[in-house]
Amino acid sequence: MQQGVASFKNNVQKKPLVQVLGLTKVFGGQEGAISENVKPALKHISLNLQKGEMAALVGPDGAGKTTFLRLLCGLLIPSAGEIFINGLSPVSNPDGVKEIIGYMPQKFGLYEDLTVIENLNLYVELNNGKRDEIDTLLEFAGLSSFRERLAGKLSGGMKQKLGLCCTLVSNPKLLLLDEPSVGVDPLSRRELMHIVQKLVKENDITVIWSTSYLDEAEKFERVFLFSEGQKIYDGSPKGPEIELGGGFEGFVIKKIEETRPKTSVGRAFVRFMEEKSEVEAPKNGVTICARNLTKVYGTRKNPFTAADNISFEIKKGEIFGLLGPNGAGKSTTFKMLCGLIRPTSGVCSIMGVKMSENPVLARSYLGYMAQKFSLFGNLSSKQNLNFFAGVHGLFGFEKNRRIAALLEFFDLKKYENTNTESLPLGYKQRLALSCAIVHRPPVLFLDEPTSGVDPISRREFWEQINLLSKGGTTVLVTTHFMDEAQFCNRISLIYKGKSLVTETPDGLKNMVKTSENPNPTMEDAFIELILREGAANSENAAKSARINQKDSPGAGKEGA
Amino acid sequence: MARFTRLFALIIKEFHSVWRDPKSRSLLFIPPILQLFLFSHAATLDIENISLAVLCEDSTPVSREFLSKISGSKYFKKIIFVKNLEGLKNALDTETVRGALYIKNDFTKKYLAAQNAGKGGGAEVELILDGRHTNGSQIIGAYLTQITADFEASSAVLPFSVPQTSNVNDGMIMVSTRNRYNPNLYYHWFIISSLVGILSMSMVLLLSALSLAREKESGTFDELLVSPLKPYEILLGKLVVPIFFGCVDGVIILLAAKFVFGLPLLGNMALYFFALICFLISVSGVGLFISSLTKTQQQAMLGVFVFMFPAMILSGYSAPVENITPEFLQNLTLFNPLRFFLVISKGIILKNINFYLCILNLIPIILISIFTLYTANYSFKNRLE
Repeated sequence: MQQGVASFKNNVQKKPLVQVLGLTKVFGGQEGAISENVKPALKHISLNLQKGEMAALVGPDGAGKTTFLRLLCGLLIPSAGEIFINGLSPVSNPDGVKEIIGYMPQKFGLYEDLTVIENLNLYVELNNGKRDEIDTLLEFAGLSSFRERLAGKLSGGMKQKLGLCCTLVSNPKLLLLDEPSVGVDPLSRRELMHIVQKLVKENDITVIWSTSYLDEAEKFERVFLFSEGQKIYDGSPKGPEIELGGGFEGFVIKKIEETRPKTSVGRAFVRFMEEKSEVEAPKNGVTICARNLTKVYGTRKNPFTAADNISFEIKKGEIFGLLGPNGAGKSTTFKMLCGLIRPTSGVCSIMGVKMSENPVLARSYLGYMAQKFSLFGNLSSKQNLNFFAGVHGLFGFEKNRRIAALLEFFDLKKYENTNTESLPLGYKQRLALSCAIVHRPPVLFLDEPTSGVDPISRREFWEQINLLSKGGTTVLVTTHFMDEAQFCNRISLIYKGKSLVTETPDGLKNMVKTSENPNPTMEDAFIELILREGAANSENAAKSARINQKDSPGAGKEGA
Repeated sequence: MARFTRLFALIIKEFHSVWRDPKSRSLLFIPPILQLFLFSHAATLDIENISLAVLCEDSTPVSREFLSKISGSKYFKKIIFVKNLEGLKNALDTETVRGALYIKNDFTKKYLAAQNAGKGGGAEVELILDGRHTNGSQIIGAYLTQITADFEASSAVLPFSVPQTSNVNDGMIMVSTRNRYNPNLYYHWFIISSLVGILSMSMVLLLSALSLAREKESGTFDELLVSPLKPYEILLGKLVVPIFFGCVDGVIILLAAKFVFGLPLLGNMALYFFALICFLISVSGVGLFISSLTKTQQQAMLGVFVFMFPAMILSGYSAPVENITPEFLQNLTLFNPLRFFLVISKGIILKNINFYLCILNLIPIILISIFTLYTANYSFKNRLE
């Protein structure tokens, strides 16, 4: 707070571009009236942002980040407090504010059936922008070579870049980005960040970038930390106070924990999972086995190899990570292993049972947690658990006992009868995990289990996964969070359909250790290994091109 | 045992996912009831309340008696008298009337002359109809022919008529009509007995086609596939709830038919429900087949319409199957479960058809069910790639 006041004094002559005073938003209650029993989504937020500043808005899910951004661009009306953007209030002068704001919501509305350039043209028309700037923008975002590609066929990162371009066609002074890096691989995340940084520098744009990734927030000069609808920190992510608190992440977690009670699954959970499972692992201890898994899509003439000859063996109790950028083939591999996709060739088996021979038995061994925590949205938490227990053959007393236990462990009792679609994301994740383990599977498959979840829930989640693995459950997890790769016992790095390496996290880091970078992070290792592979590929390509040239008689003659 | 637990869990889940949300719950009942009242009242082919223009150049007691017969019948609500042919043409052109009657000035003369001579066919009236309404015009023509015949038959007792020794109607064939099964020819009897099939069919189609598509959209479909449920178990579980709600809608319509519209419900209702369930199974097979081909609810919805309208048109509901030309379209109706169910439905509700006839129509329905379920299962399995 003090820092905020200080910066305000320093810039007292310059009028801030964004000025927020005592902003409060209550949903559900009467507009304007702040009642005792309805918890406000935002509580007395005050902040200032100068022109040309780039700030990160950090906080766990449900902290009020999206509400805050939507209030700024006039999509919501504050219950109390004032907002001024360039001196204009979004409530009384919505049109004036719209002209200077570019807002990119979490799910940006790209038209998936239109090409990149058609999407841009459309947004130019809608915003009365200038068509001649499109080329510059595409160049800027590195999308020039994808002009004619359908937006639906772009990778997650490219979609976000295109979304950003579409937001920029109106030449905004203030850019509001709502979790632009969710579902984007680290390479693309870095690029996206560079694009925005360049914008700030060259065009003097002011940016608010909301995120739940702390490593991302750390790269900003200024951070607003929200939790439970309150602003609990406003300032630089670096500083003596933070260094003492054990780095930015530790600092943030400590701050958030002050406002939010921590849940812990505890001993009972361990005992619950350790109850003797009926299934014995095969003698060699290999619970998940992939041998030469290959999946080819497309036509015979134009084949596309999504997964190429992937092999690994995972032992009982291991946490095994499939790591790779979007579209690398980790999802395909994952889905082949749990029987959702039939491999073109190769064998996969669970607990020694081949998926191709006895899929029903093999599947009965696995617990599956789908991407985005797919649950039956209009069923209550308990009904979801009932369903998953039931399809795994549980009934009667045993079923009720396990469901009651899981609701207890994961602190889901209060949401027992709530429709799962209205659960906060962190709770959705817990419920999805509960549903996946209600039949105590010896093997657990987790597909991007923490994407979009705030740092604290993520940490809790990994504690739970650790407990599971200690209890003898084998865990296969896909992720694009590099820091999470640390929690795995072994990692397979998947890139362009191939498994580049299968190593322990430390082993991976050692591979890229150089004198310049003696202490590489997981992210460094990931990017470096992919770049190396890319270099090797292009070398190979160059080599084969040269060979082709030599072989071709026409080329030879021309040379002579 | 485990299999039943699995299936049961799936069915309970399906039921909850339709029933829990108040909006989708109300969608189960309000549209069918609404459609029942719309169809039974608005979509009637009965021609009543017709307006008729009359140009009468012959002003005698005979022509007046003839006209009073017409205006006294329940079909004609309004008789508009016009002065000349121009007026007649105008009334038709502006669609103020559906038909126009032209009585020439020699009508009475010729009529009496013919009557005196003791033979029919002497007098003429001209009827001009609006050909744009093909069906309606035919019916108006038929009504007027009937009225004319009545008039001829009764005119013997008119006070002004010349007493005759010989019987005027000698040599004429009297047709006496009796409408069995629907004695008063209530059109809504026909409609409602068909609606049981049509409305429960649309409900089942929508529920079954959307249920898989919805799961594909939300990503829960993968969860089903990864669970130990076998593909055919998933299909089976997905059948039950749509069929249940289809039957509930059928019961609602039948109750309304009995107590609101006064249909007789003559036949064996147990047999009726057995047929209804078989019919709904065949329809849900189609729904699941559509669902297995589509990725989103929108696509599934379109698929439902692609099936539903041809099925309705080729069912004998709107036009008798025998009237459908070219003939190969008639053959197409052999693959339409609705066609057979409508026969059973009308048969049991209106005339208590015998068991044998019912079975004869039930067999094709069962064959179609087996075919659609098999196809759905096959396409479902193949789509797992």
